[in-house]
Amino acid sequence: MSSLLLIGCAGATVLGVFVAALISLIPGLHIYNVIAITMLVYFAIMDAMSGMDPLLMTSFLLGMVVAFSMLFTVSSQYFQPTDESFRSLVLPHERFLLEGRAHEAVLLAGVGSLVALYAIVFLLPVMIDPIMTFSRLLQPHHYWIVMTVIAFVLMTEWPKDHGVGWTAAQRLQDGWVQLLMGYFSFIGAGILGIVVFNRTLVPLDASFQSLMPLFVGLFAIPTYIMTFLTETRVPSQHHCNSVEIQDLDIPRGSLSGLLAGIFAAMNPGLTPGPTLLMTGHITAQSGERQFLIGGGAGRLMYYVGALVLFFLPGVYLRRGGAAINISLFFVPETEAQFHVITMVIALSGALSFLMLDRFSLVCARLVALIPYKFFSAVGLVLLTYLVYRVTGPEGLTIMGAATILGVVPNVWHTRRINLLAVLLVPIALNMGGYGPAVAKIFALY
Amino acid sequence: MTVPADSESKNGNAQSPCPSCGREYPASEGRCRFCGSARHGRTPTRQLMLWTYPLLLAAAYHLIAAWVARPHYQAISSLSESDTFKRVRAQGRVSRVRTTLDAYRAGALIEFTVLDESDGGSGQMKPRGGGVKPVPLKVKAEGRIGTQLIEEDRVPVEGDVIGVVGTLYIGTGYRVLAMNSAAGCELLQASPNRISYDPWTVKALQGAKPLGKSVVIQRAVMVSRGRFDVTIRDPGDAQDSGGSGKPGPTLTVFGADPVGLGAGDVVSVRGELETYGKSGGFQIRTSYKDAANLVLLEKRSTAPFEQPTSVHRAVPRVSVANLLKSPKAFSGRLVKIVRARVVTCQSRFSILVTDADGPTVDDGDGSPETPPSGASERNPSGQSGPKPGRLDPERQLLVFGVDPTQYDPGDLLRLEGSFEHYPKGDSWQLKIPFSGGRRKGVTRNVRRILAAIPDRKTTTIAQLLEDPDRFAGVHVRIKNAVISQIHDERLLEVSDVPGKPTMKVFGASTRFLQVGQQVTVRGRFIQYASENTWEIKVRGGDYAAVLPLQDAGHPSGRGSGGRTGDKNKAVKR
Repeated sequence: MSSLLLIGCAGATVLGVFVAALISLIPGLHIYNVIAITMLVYFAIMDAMSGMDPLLMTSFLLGMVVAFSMLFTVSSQYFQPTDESFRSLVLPHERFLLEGRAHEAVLLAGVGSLVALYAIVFLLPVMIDPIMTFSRLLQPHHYWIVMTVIAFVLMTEWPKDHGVGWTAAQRLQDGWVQLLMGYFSFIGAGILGIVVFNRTLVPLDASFQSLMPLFVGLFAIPTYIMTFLTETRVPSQHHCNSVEIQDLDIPRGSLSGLLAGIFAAMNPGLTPGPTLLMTGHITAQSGERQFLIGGGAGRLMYYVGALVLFFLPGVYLRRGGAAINISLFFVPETEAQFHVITMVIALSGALSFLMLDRFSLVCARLVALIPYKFFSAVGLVLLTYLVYRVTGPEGLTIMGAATILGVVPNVWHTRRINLLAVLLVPIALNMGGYGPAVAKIFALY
Repeated sequence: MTVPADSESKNGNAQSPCPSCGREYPASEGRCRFCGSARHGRTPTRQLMLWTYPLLLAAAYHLIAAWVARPHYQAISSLSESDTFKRVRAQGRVSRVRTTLDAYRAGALIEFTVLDESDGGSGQMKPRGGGVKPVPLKVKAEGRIGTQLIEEDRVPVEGDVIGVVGTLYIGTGYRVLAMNSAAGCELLQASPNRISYDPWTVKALQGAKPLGKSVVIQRAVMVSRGRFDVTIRDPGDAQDSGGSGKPGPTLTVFGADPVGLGAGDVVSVRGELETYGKSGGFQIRTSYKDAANLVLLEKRSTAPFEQPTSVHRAVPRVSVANLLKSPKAFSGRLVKIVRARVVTCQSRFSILVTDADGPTVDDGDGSPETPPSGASERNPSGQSGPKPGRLDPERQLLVFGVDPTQYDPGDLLRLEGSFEHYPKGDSWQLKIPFSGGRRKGVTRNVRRILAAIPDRKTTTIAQLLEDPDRFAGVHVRIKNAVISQIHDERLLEVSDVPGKPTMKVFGASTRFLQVGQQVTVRGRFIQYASENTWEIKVRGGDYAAVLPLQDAGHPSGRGSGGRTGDKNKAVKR
């Protein structure tokens, strides 16, 4: 491979990292949304760049994915504080923010991400054969694994809290409403998923982004809405120069995260959220620090590890939106390209981690200077425009319907994990062979 | 490494900030009373940053590894059915290349056969141990991938050694590798037969005129199209952008198949630059048989979709009789006549043919072939001599675009061309497109199956006169002679050069000939019995027996008559 191209790839990687850092300042953006924007720009200027080696664009996107996977939670951490009145539980990173130690939470998650990067850069290349074998073994079992995850999600709604109220009826209602609304959001999201999976509601030329309005509506927009409604005051943040890490924090936390990431990457329809919940049980994960480390490792393993499966020689698993988008213009072919990809991941990962400290400091200062609702407003406008631009009015309609469903967990204090039924249910049904029969019930088939 | 306790913690009552949340609490307490963080056993951020060093080292390692890495190729003979659907990188020698357009004319379809170098890669199926023939690997580059290969001038040619990567499909008797990207084809060793096309623009060609060079215009806009020719200009001209400025220069590309293309389409063109016509113009000569020579890059015209005639639509095989029986059914179509007999060779780019099992060749002089002794009796009146080739519209077909000096009356030919109406004579003709024959005036669309005169000798008049007995009764050709005298409508004399001994030529029409004109002559060398002299007797129906040299060749321009000759022909016929 020419040295000029290699230098170009390294340059594109650095550029990707800085662009991702800039975009990461907007909370609530998903990496796949960012890739969608990038692809829009890329396709618009494709003719002008026809002579460009696709490896350069791949390096840029991969650099973005790695950096974004590490940095995007930082802005959410600072700019989207939680109002306890809207949530069933406050997650550790949200509590860290309210205690003025968001920076430590950022660093702990960064440590998890760093461990995941080590695994991707040093372990994955020598584990091609086991991965292939595992993938082949897993293939016929995907459907029941996904169904088991569904069962796990539904089961973990229990035990329900006891109801609080003056009368028996009030206590009965209070005791059951959270659980029932959790199931309601699960069923609603499942039906929405069945509809979207069986009908191409968005314009055909945007079908490769058909899930975008769904996810924006279910997760991003409700979070923005809650941020607008919340009156929480973000306390002054302490920029610590050390983190508390106990002996077992890294092994347990990162192991649960790595397993969750791999599990989600290799099984269609799964995301690190529910899998982290499961692997936390496997690794006896305990404590907030392990949770944060696990979260960081799981996210990076899922976003980057799933993408690396596409580049591993002999594996070529196309999992996740990033791989699908990159495969539109680049197909990995040579060993040299694999080395370039690994170089890109290692370089962008190292740069991102080195930036993490300063990036967190910038976010802490921004949240002290500018009302955090401003960032959510920017994100809301940007995402709404993006959905309209990519998927048209049809996409906006889907986004609206998904948003209604997405606010249910906030209003009735249920878990948002139930909303993942939008993916889990149709995929499990299709894999189990029941998809058409169920679609017929909804007159979709 | 851990951070030591805060210095103020020596004093039990002193307040010290929590290293995690920053709020102060008594230094003597191990954990923050607000956030619960430990004061001791913490890892400094700087130390965490050092953990990135292995990653940076790994990045450097992979950078170097990418720089030195070379692809690994699989031997074609080692591919088996278990490799089906796998991505395979194979290496071998290209034995055959076929470039067409895909079914929707959206891009090129390039197919080439690759064999292991140990199998010769010559396209020959060599039996190996056990008599098993090695199955070649057929590689397909379709659509955008094929077009990109053409645009980048990376289509392999016979004899190239290439590395190719793609998805493999293996079944009984076939091995197909579908390329997934144009980058998957790498030239490892170029064939000596590879034609290197120099990239040019129309404007640059007009200026430099690199005649005889193989040129490629990678992006051009079609201005107009004919049956076998297109006119192109550079994109980005004033006209192209809708401006009213002076349009750029145009260039004709002859020999291509422009079916389905229209004015405004963006195309890629390649071929050989040559002059044509007496006007001194020049054109790119190309072959329609290789679709890579004219590739549609961007559809801008509203020309309706048509299947490319030369490739995807089967060329119907017809007889002359059938063609003439229902000409409208074949009008404008490419047809193939598998056995046609030459009736007469006309004087300019045309011959008359009939079906092989049709009437025999008219001898013209009404007599049987001359006896082997070579003696002949000339009819002085000339009335029974060769008459001008009058067309029998029910049995004979005019074939235009053929060098008549290359064929003889009585030859059996296989012809492929466009069947068209010839409005001037209100008749039909088979128009032969030029398709890149290597020899002057020879087109691949006309194949001789059986030669009426297999033993013609090329000689000079001096040699004939020196040893006439040796050539007695032999069909001879004099490639270059000068007309020294014209006796009458059927008799003339020619010599090698002016002033040298002459030789009589009988039987050829002298109507359009002049003294001093350079001609090519062919006929039978015989002894004229009455006068006891030697002469060349032209066969009946051979109106191309004495032909001015500048008229010989193909209307595409290989001869100097060129396409101007085409227009002249219309008048002359």
